[in-house]
Amino acid sequence: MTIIAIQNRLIVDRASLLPMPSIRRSRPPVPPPEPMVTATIHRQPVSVATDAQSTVCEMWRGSKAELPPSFAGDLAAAGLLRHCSFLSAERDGPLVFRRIADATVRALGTEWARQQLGKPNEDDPHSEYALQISDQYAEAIEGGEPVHNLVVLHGLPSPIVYSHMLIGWTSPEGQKALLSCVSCPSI
Amino acid sequence: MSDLDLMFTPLRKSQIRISAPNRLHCDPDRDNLALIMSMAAYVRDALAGVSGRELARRRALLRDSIAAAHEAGMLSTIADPLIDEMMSAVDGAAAERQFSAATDAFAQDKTDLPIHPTPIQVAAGLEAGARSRKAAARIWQAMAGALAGSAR
Repeated sequence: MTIIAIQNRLIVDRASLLPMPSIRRSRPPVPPPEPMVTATIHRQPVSVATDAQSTVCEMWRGSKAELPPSFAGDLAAAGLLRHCSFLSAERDGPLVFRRIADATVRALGTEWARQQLGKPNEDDPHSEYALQISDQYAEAIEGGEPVHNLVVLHGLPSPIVYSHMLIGWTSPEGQKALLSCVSCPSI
Repeated sequence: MSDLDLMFTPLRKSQIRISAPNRLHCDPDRDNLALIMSMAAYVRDALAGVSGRELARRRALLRDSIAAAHEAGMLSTIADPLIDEMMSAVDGAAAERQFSAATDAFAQDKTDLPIHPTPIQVAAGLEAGARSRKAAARIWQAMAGALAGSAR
């Protein structure tokens, strides 16, 4: 290599440089395919719900089964919002994720949660699981009464057991909303 | 109560008991304005998103004013279907706004999500030598945090 200094500047003779070894870029790793996640759902009496789930039910009864604009703030003030997922739908539209409970993020991962926020429940890559849960959501919304289930998720590296209290609303104009208060002590 | 206050106060049934002598004291301009004002207040409050209880109070006041106007002979029953239709439309709009406000309050930003690996990522961490699931999750979280930091 020839280096010439002229007026305090270094000039490198490129031709004399050693050839740089070529860097072979490896392909980015292919993410593993999403597992087929299914659920076994066991209906539970509301009376055996966790404290957080029972408190959410009491708040729902306190609001006379309506969905006041203050409901999210009341849940946050009671420290319950992080336990809750929330989906809403315009009239005749699909239920869309607006909020995802911390426990659900722990179970299915931040990336899953990030891609699901703002998307319909049916677009979940764990489609089999999403369809099974959709039926429960519909029952809570149309029945107008809280639905309490024990759910076992299969298809993950290890089964996950959790419970959810589902509370649904329908506005006079046909909009729908669903709150799922999740309890998952194992994760 | 000043005349101005009286003008803007919705009429109540109890305020108007029409009898022959009293009819002489009826002021059509004032009473019509009171009815219009109570109707306007109801529409304004409904669209402003007041609570359901407050809106119910406004609705009751408006109904009272309408009934009083009927009793005073100032409002024909021909107007009833139109008024009912208007109130129904306003109630619907108010309910829709309330519901939308309630659902918007739940909205979560993607950046507010807690950072957690998927079960598959935890399993990969265990395979790579992490001593426990918690350790694998902590390693993943640290790496995700570092990557997020370097991406800024």
